[in-house]
Amino acid sequence: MSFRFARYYTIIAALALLAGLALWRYAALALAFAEAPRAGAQAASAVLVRGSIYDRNGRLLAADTDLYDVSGWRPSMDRARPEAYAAAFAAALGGDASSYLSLLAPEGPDFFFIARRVSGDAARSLSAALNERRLAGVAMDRVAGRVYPERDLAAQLIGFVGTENRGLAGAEAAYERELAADPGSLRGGYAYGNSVFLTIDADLQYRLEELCEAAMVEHRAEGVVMVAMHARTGEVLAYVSQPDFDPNQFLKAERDSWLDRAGIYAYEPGSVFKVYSMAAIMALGGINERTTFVCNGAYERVTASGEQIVIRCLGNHGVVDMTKILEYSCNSGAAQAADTVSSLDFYAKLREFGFGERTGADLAGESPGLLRAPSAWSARTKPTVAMGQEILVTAMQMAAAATPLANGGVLLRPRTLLKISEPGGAPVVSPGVIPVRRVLDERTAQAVLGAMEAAVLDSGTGRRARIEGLRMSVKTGTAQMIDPATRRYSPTDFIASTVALFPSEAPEYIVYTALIKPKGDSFYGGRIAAPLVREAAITIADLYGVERAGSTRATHDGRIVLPALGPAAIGDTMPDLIGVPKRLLSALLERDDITVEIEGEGWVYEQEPGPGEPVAPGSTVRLRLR
Amino acid sequence: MGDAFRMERPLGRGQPDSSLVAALALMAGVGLAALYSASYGYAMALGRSPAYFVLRQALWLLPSALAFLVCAYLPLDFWRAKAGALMLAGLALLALPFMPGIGITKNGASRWFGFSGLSFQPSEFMKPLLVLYLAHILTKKGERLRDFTGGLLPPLVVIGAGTALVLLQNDFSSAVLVAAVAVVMLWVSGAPLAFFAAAASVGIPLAALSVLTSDYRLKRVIGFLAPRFDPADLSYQVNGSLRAIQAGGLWGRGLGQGNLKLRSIPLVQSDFVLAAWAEETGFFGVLALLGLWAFILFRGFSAALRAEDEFARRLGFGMGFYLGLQTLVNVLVSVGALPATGIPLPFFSSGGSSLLSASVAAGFMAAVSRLPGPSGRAKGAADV
Repeated sequence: MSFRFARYYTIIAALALLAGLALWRYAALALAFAEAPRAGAQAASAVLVRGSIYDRNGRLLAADTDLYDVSGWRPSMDRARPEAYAAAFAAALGGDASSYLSLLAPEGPDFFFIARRVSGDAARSLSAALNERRLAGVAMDRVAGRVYPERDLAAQLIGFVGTENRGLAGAEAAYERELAADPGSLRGGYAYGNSVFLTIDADLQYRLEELCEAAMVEHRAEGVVMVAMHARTGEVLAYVSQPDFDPNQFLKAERDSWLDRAGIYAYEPGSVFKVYSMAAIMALGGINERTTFVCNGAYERVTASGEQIVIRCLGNHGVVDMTKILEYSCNSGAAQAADTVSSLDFYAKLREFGFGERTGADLAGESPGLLRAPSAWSARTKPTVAMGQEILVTAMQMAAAATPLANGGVLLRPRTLLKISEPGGAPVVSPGVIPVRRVLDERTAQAVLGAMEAAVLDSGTGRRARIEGLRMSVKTGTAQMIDPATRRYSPTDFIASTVALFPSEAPEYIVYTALIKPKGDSFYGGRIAAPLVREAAITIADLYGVERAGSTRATHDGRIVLPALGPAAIGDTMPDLIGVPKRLLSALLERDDITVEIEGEGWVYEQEPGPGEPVAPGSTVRLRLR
Repeated sequence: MGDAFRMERPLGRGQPDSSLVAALALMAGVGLAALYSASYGYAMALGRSPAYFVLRQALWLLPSALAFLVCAYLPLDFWRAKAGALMLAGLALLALPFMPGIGITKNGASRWFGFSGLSFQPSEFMKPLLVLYLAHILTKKGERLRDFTGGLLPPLVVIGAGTALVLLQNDFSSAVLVAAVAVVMLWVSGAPLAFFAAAASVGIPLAALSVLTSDYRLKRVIGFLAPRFDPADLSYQVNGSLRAIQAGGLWGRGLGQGNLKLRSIPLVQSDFVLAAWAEETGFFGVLALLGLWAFILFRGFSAALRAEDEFARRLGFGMGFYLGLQTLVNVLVSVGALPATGIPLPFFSSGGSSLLSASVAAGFMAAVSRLPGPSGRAKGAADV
């Protein structure tokens, strides 16, 4: 080898090196010892169908569908007839023909998108129109798409997917692993993800969303949240966060509407919290039903260090017990009650209610709120927390903390997931009721529940929630909000909220609602949140047939249950055979120690002996059919 | 490798290396078949005949074959005498896309000019033209290349003008390719090492600046570095290409059997035709394709290094390098090892200008292979 061509050889060597690199990359990909950036090798040609999301009754909330990207290839298009194209696009895809016309200008790029993610129907009608008019140069490519048939219903809870159908928010993100089809489970080129059933009831969700939206508009609130929960199971029946958005077009929605205000938004709850602080203090033995305090319009105390603490009350309530404290929402009484227990005990009990930690309600994201440890408390903190300030909560926490009142003192974990099923329907996960811990003794739970009933009396703050004939346990609240600019309580921003459990004798439903920053005629929880809870409670009572005294309405859950009939058999007593078809009576004839006489065809309408009467061997049974 | 190889060489008969020509013809034929297979799905989706893109390409076959023969058979002295004039004409052509009336802007770039349905991309022709011109001028300058102002500067001005004009057409990757071809020509022509150090210290920051100041280029680079950043828009083609390669596996799905190419890679017929080829013929198909290229380059480089004449040696080598580099860039893009560029695969990608300029380059390689070698044992060739 001479050095005459050394410079040539370096170039050849460089080319060979590049070729080696290219071949190595090729081999790595083709022989699958390199990970593809996303899909596995099998997934390349496979159709991966993401699982659907349903409500508790099997109503479809999210499903995969085929959408189409419509693109043009300019050299193939008939340049002489742009109007014909534009008219076909406008007719099939909607929109204005003139806007399509501008896309079709001859000097544009060869390849261009006309519309993306259009429905199969639109694509088919466009295809037909183009074929009919003999217009070439338009291609339609199938792309995986996600549709949310109920549009903005429970939008934050359901969430949405991004490109390549990956969950980005809500249940779509929380159950990404379940919903995503596993390329390893391919059958015939298709793989399906699991189905997710949420606990919400789309019917109720829709109605409560309507109510909340109306309230948000009426009271000019920044947002409204509402959680309706089944008190005995912790299942969330409705999960409302207004404003909401249409996940079909989430990119077009205000980012603010994506916010899950029920699970992520944390705020100071205000007086509604007195329910939990009074229950905690009573469970700790600080007070009982007969303990009384004197409210003279303010709570005043001088600490050991000489600091004067004053918490003003809404009124001069005189002698108050726990019931009166909740009825009048008496700050002074609540603060004095808090003095009967130690900060550490009080803090620990509130933690047991679930404050300061995530509820674990299977949400994609959840705030734990904020309950500081007593070491960080000031002298004001304990009485202030007892009134629902100096603590941050979420609507989900507030609703879940009411479950001990309905379950004899046991806190339930709130749930938004009913079950997960395989594509074939076999259940994978079905969590059932999840008791977390006992928070209250049964007697405290009953006492607080009873005391909350007083709030709907004419003198109570929750009177606007009252429903004739339905016993309700209610607490309202109006919380001050910190203005982040001044770091002081704002004179104009409030949270008006109300919690309700009903029917009080054995609560089945919990409704919690909060109006965020209402700017209408009133910002008081008793004025604007209590009526909203009333509307919600009426809706729930009507939908689920909660009995209301004095109501003559027959309620029905809408389902007709037919008991499965087996072959009729007669033991020592005569069964009720009315309505049994003839084909199921043949078993009776096999018994040789009694005589069975059957008259007629069809179903039994008369029998002798009657139901429950003894049948002795040798006796005769007569059945008449028609 | 030496003796058997030299014996079949048609030395002194004035005929091109027949195995080189055969390999090039095979490459063009396979390329057309691959283009058909890659593009019929899209053509049909457009409501066209399945052969739509192939027929468009086939229109260029005859002119390309003519160009090949003209380059291969006209005496090299003729080309050498015309190199300067041709280069000037080439630079003038590069200005045509900016001319109102015949300039064509598409896909966001003014790279074409044309009339009555035909379009030309002059930046494609710039590469073989530059090789021809530089082979001529650098040989002519000879030892004077060591002197900057008298030797190196004039060709540098021409290179700079050509690269700048290509860059102005918003064709960054072609400009880089043109610059790379020029640098290699300077390198093999013996330009002083200090020059390359200086060129790198100027050129690399300039290129970086050019990427950072263009939203579109920056997105391409981001798409390359972070393919998950926005798969729908930035790395969509590359991800589709990677999936196609994986789907092809070792043996491929068989010609015409690929289904990803049918629509999952936009514009598969132009820059990602290799992905369709890989899906259908698998790793061995790609190996065969690169093997054929290796053979072509081996024959071309051998002939160049055998040539006594310096101009012919640099001309043949430069043409081979241009084809080889362009092929490798396209391959590296389709395996995701380089950011997506608009560099076509010679003889495979649809596009008449690309086919024509590749044929010109191939023609000059064939022309160089016609030259008689040195009497006695060839220097260098035995070692290639």
